[in-house]
Amino acid sequence: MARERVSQSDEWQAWAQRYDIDGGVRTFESGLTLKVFLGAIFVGLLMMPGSIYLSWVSGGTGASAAPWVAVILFTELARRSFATVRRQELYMLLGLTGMAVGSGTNYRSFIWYGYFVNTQQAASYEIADKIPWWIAPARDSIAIAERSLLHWDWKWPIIIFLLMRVLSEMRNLGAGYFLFRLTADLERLPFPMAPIAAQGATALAETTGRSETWRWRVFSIGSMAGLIWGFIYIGVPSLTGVMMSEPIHILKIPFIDFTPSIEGFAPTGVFALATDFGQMLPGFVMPFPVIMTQFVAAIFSQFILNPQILYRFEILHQWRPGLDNRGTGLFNFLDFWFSFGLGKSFSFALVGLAASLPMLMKFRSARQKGIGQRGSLQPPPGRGDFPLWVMAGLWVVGMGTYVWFVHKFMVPNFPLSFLLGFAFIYTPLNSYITARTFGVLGRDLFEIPYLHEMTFILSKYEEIDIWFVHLPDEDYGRGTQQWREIELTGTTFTSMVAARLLLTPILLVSSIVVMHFLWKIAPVPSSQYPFIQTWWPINVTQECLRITALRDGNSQMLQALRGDYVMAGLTVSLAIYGLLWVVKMPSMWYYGFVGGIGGDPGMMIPMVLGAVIGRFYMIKRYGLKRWYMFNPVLAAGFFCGVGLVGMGTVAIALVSKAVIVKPF
Amino acid sequence: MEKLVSVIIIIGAVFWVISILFMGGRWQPQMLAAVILLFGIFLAHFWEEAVHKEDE
Repeated sequence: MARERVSQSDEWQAWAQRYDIDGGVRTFESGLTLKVFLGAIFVGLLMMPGSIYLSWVSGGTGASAAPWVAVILFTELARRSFATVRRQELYMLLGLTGMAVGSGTNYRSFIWYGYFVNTQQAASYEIADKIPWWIAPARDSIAIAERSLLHWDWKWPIIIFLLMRVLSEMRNLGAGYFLFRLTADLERLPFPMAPIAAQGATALAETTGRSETWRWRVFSIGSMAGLIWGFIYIGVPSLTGVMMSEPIHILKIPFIDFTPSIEGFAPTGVFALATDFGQMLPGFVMPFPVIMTQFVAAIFSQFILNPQILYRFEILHQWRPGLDNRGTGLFNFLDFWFSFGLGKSFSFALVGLAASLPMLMKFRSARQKGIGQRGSLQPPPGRGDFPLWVMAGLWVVGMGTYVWFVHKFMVPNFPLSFLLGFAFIYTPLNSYITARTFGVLGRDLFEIPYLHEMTFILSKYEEIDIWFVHLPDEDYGRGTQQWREIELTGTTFTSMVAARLLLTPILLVSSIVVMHFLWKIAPVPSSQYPFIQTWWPINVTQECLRITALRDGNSQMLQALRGDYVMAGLTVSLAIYGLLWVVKMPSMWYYGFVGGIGGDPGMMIPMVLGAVIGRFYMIKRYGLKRWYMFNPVLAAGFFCGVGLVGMGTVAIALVSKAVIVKPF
Repeated sequence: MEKLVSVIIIIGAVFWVISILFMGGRWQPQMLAAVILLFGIFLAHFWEEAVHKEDE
């Protein structure tokens, strides 16, 4: 019997419905209430100084667990007060607390450059007197000598920072929303990882109701599993590291490298078994065809393509026997996979355009289509949407103003064409690629490394100040998933935007005050902050090397770029997509193949295990619908448990370092 | 139309193999193969959205 063609639109629609466990039926409510706002500020500001301090002392921050702590605290208070909490409020609390704790990084660069300008390395590399005025005061400034951020000498760095922040918020908001409408509303991409955060908030909200629901049971199972796994994987090494000279690793972190073991029959092949079996949870969630095709493509790449074709024909020529996975991976990357990967990324964008252009050209009928239908730009009622032209305009104004400011006041001699190219060609293209890959694979596909270095060489600009400019090469695609999470929780977009607008000024003021006081306690770095005392001197040297490496116009990355390999990546990826269409196979396979080709199969094994268990056992036991309802809640609970263990062990290690003196 | 699109895509894929085996893998013939494939893919999606849906 001939295979029936399932159009890509029907395929995406089916997966999007599978991941929307409310069946697409939801009412939207505001998540912004006074108690949520005050709760987020209270918990966030309480934990923000601790998070900064922890990162300076031990490297860990506990920031990932902080939002869950806030939410669990909130729900427990609500239960004891016999009040109920809506999931919109909890999701808002998750987001705002994360924002509050994360705001501790706002002014970290000020402290860093306050240290950097007075280092010996900066002086010997002749950089110290070339630090731009918008980054830090002069090295002999009283503000730096007195370790004070609340000093007039910091006025220009602070003003520039605040201005850049406003423009950045405009760009992120405008572009993120626009891409969301394009990928989630118009194309109906499934966003497989989005339900996790959404269902976690829903599970906890239901605990404040009168009866225990399946969500709370499943969330509890997941969090207990996460606590146990976190203890084995993170807790034991952290705690034993405090008391012993060598910590005990039950499982080697983060992988067990088999690359030297396979070089006998697969030279230039890479195989490192990932040991974080927590990755089985995403394996439960992700579409099965994507995971399996990704794995098959990776196996093919490392065991057939690399050793039998690319190595034989001396395309991979830098590899030597005895290299581990990092060395082998680096040489393979420079020889071939860097260029091939670029071509792959372009194919994602082109395939995305091919899928969405016909829908955009039927714009009039897109406006008439029903809500939730693929090809429809009709937003669901009450979602709190914004006019598309307003958001696009917001991004254009934000980006245009930013480019103008950088060109006029910061680096006037840097070629404007490069800034414009980054701003209006590279950034939209890169963001669109990322938005689509998050929409299908739940992750990013490919980052172009050393892009700035290549740009500076091509521009022939030799001043140091360009290294301190944030170039307009941004990626808004990651934020697209967050909009989908907001939608899945039934939270109005307007309430989320309002919450950010209200909270941001408070955080900008409070974080500078906190950073100022932490700097006042002791010099940074110093013995009070042992982690950065260990790493910052090394980081200074690395930064000096990075900044001055191109003085003679060299770039390893530029030399690694080959047009024929880029074309190979592009054409092979397009051929895979086209041939799958010809034989009427699901287009998911394309994303799996292209996502996995060149990858390390060992790193995918936990996810594959999860996918196989989910497909062949869990779905049979619970049924397809119930399993797809369970697994995002299970994953949310699991990551909550792991985060709590991580934070707990970091705190115990910190306290122990303060009181335990090793006898030898 | 579906058959025409399939033929275009297969021609593009075969041309790419030819460019690797017999034309030294230079980027110019590869780019031509990519253009053919891209044309076929765009045509495939236009056919799916514009014609196939109406037939359904």
